[in-house]
Amino acid sequence: MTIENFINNPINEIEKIIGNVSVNEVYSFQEPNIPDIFKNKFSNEEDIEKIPILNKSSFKSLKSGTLIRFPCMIQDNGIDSELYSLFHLVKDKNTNEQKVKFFKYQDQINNSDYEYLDSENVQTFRDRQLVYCINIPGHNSWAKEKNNYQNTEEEKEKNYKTINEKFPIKSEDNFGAIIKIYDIDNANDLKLNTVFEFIGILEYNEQQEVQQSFDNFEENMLTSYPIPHVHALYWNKIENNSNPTVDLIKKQLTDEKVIKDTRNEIVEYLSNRFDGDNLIAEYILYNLVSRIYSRVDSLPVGKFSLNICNVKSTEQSNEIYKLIQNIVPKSHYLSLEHKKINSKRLAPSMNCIESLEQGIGLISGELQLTDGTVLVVDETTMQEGKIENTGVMNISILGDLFQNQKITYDFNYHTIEFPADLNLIVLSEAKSKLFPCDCIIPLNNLTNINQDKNIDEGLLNKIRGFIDVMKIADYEIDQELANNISKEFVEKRAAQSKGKTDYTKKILGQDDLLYQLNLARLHTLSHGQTHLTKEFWENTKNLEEQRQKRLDDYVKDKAKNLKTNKTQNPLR
Amino acid sequence: MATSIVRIGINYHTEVERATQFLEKYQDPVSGSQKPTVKYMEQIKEISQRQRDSITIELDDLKRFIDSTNTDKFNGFLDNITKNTKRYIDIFSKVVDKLMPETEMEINEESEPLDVIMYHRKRQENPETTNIPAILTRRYSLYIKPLTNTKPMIIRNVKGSYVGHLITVSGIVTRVSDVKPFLAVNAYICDRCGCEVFQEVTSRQFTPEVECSSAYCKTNNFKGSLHQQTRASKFLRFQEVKIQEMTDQVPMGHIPRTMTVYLFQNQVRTVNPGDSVYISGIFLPLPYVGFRAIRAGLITDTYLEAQYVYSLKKQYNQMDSTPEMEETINQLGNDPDVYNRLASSIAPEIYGHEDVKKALLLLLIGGASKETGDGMKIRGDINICLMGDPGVAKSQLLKYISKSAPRGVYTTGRGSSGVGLTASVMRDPVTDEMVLEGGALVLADNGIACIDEFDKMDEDDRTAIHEVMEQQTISISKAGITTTLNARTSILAAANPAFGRYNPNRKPSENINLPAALLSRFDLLFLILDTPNINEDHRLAQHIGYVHIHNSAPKKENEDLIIDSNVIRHYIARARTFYPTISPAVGEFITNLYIQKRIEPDNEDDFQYTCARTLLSVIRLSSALARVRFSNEVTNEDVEEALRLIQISKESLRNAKGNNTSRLPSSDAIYSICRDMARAPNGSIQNLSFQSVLDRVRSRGWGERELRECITKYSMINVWQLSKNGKEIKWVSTGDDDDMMI
Repeated sequence: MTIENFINNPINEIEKIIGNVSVNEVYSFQEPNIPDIFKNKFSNEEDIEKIPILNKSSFKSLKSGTLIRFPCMIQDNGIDSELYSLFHLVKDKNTNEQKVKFFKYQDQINNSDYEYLDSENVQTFRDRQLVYCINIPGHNSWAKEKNNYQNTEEEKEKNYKTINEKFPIKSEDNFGAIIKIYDIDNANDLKLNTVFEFIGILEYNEQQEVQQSFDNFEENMLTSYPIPHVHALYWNKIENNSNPTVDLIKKQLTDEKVIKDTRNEIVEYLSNRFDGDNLIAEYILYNLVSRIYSRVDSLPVGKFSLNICNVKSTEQSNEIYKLIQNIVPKSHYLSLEHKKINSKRLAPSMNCIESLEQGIGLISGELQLTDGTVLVVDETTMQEGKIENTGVMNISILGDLFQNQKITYDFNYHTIEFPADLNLIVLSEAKSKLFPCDCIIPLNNLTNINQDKNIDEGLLNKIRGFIDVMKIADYEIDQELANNISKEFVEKRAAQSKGKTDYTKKILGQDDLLYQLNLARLHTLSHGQTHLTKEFWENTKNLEEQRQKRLDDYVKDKAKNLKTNKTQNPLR
Repeated sequence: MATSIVRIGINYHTEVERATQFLEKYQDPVSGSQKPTVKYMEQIKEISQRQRDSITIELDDLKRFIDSTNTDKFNGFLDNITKNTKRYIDIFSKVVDKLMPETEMEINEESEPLDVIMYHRKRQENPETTNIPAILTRRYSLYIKPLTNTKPMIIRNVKGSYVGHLITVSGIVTRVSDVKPFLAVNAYICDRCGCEVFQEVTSRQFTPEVECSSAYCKTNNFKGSLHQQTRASKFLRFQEVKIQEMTDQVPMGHIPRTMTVYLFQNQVRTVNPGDSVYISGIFLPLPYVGFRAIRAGLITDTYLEAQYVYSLKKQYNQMDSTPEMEETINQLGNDPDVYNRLASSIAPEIYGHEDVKKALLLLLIGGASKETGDGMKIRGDINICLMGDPGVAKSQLLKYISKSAPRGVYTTGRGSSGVGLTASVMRDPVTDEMVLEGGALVLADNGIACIDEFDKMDEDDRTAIHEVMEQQTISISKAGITTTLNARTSILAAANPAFGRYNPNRKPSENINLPAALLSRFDLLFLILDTPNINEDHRLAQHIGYVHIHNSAPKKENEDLIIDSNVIRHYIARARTFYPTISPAVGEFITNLYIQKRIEPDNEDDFQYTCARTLLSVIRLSSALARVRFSNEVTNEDVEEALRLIQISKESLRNAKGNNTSRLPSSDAIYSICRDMARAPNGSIQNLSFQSVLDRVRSRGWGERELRECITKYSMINVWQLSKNGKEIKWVSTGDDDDMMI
């Protein structure tokens, strides 16, 4: 039963641990490590799963003062810290007794039971840090954890605010809460856009309306709105890219044959969607398993942005996105309508005039996503026309994201660059000039994107798990093979400069070698292996040749079409 | 981090006594025979005469005073003040009140209402009226300025334990509220007894009094109602300001925090949005009001009550340096190889390009600007253009420079925002006023503008660049605003060749897609080509392989020789305090070299000929070189190094032509130099001193090694010989047969 007590009334349990404190003991009070007690209490999976998950739908039925788990992204960690008093003097209305009450992990007391008294003698001020967290943006429905908390009480509408400007993506499920952090020494780990699961006590105020005050500075603080609060006891980093299938699949991928079969199934699944186009399936798979695994002198190593061109229409690109959405845990589809890019900032920014309409604190933008999210940019949604200041800024920020995997946030009088790790895919009609990708691959003409008619959940889960298992896997190259590769590169470069040189063409450079090595890495990983072999290296080169040929053909084809059009209309 | 109650044996009376002593006795240190002034007493006198309305207690003065008294009477006084500042402001104010001389003023129509009230009060001599809050009669505001060596804190480090302390924070002002009246004392008048009641207001919200509390009303049990008297109330000018952390103070993965600052009386309107400031003030808690107070019992917000505001301009000459930094820089200055070390520490992740980096170092330091008697300005800023194949790290070099210069702006020629490079007229979104907004070049005033893709620049901007590069101003006439803005900036430009890659078969002017008039304004122009080279390529490939194997960059060679960019910045700041001049001897040296260059038939290219601008470039570069040595005098070596860099920059263009083949082998070229040098004006051939040859050879971009090679080569065919002491080059067949040499 005690587990249930801990979940339903944690404040009561904490008070039991603290015991009675008299006024004189306040200053010499030694605080027990409450988070550790809770951690020990919930040490096994089963018990942890009993703690209800906080999200928009469960919030309706959760009572203030319940222990909850909140998997979320840190959206704003720039909120000022707050002073609170560890103790308060209160009067128990039932017994008329005066009492020193422990006030960590809660902001308010039940008005019907207690009354505040003048507490000057027991004031012991402490700091606590506030962060604003939201549900993980772009989290696809299949990857969300099912809430197993059942509540028989009928749901009632609660008075709370969602500030739309603080969510990167508009969604029905958007839910945000202020997390109060008591363990300030470790609060530095709570970096922006990282994903955590907080275990803490939910608190919200049921009755209060927002009071309009005349003071324009005061009213525009996050804390002055009825936003649910969570008093964090402790937190865990969410691993595995928020993908619940990873652990299961990892266990299955034990022997070589299973790995090989799984990989073949994935390529088959993908290529079937593209009329049996294996090449495109391979490259999409590479993109999905890529991640930035290192930054050397601000150069992101491991980035593999993919430009799928020859996409004929927005419908077609929607189909492609649906396919991707179904196999990755986090993804976002970014359309670039004229009106949108001219009016809304894609990168987060801080506003100098804060208000409910314009947002408070860090205003989110569509690019505030967590690491490992697949961002599909649909260039087919763009129209010709003039873009304005915001538009120019948005395009250049996107360009910077493609080139350097970083996003510049605007803080009024200065900007800060935040490193990103997004899997970037551009869908465009012709080669994308705006967003320079590492790799360009045209769709075959006449390709229809076939959606999976009879979805086999088992297979899908296998694909989902496999991709993320390999995404986080380690990888190595032999020194010897590396030497051979560099030798090959040097020779190629030397050969290029000899003979007749075409000065319009760029010669092989550092970027090409980086790209080749990275492709080899992704090729290896996509085979479920972590070690580059000679065979993989040769395969990569073959694939590259095929792709290059297809790209060249496509470009030639385009040029030819242009010419034939011209000859048909000589007068034009 | 937590506040705790500590028993502090502080006696109020002794503190008052201490404060009085300080104010009465403190004398400003003066130099020479000036009569020392009793600073604070003077100020108090001025206040009483209505010539001054604020008094600032400088803790520096107090510290000096305490040190000079040599007693332990003041033990802990300073510390107490910084830890409980609000209280001590009160104490000091009371002391000042006591020390304030009485002033007798005639009441006339121009007197302030307060004076009138006070005047009548005094005449009434009614004991009841003693109940006037002191603040009402105070005609000054009192501030406490912290010690100047107080280190400013970062906003996020200001924790609860600092409540009540006098702290200094640094940040950037992001919002400034309107100036509003802040009610300090509310005055009422009773409609029954006519008695005036004053209510002191200390919080932002208060409950007005309604019932008269005078003895007369009370004894008679009248419930006299009170009416507010605005004219007799005291209002303070009040402004609320938000400051935000600066970029370099924010830890990775976090976003800047903000802090609210209250400014009162004289301090209002001292800061503007966008200013970098140090604000000293008292860190105070502010109980939640309204909705938030209901939901939370004793949670408080915090704010800073400003005592002293200091606006920063982050330029080289205003950078604050620590003693340790001074020491490091002194050491560096003594290193004879400092020039090379500094140069190679620029963008250390980019391999090679030593001469380009040297040029960039000189760009950062800049030459000394001069103003001639008739007001003509000669710019000292050095402009450099980097040209080259795509992918040779031009942009990285630019970004590095823009980041390490205190006012560096990086932009691309295509213009990333509507403001563009120069300036534009914009409508302010808040006030609807037309405002002039500076573009990259104006923002980089007194700094460096790094312009990438210079060749793809707008025609308009390019025209403006002409003006910036010589006159260092930008003239605008747009939307009825005509003005000239300063743009004293160095320009570092990067351009791509016209045909994607540099085509050595074409002329340089064809490859460079820029007008010659613009190019001649660059002091140095470097061409960086991407030519395959087995050794270099191998190194590169290995490097990349290493990155992939180990997920990190390999340790750089001579890593410990690399100087940290922060140190470089301070070094440059120091170097810029020197204003090197050219002595007549050096001047002559330059003249000779210049004339020689002019006569020399240079190559056929239009923008490479030697002209007056070249001469100015030499002077600029050599004065920057003198600054590197922390010297106020330009030497011959500086001039030679400057010439060498110019030569190298020209060679880089020449070399690109015909794949290095057209150039004479170095020894032949050196030989021809020697031959020219040996030819005396009267036509005879002289022996040469090794040193002078070496100097000349160096100025052409070769080193001693090449010279020695040349000497050996020509010695073998019996043209000349090196004397035994190695100091002279003797021609083998000097004398009668002059023509043999030619």
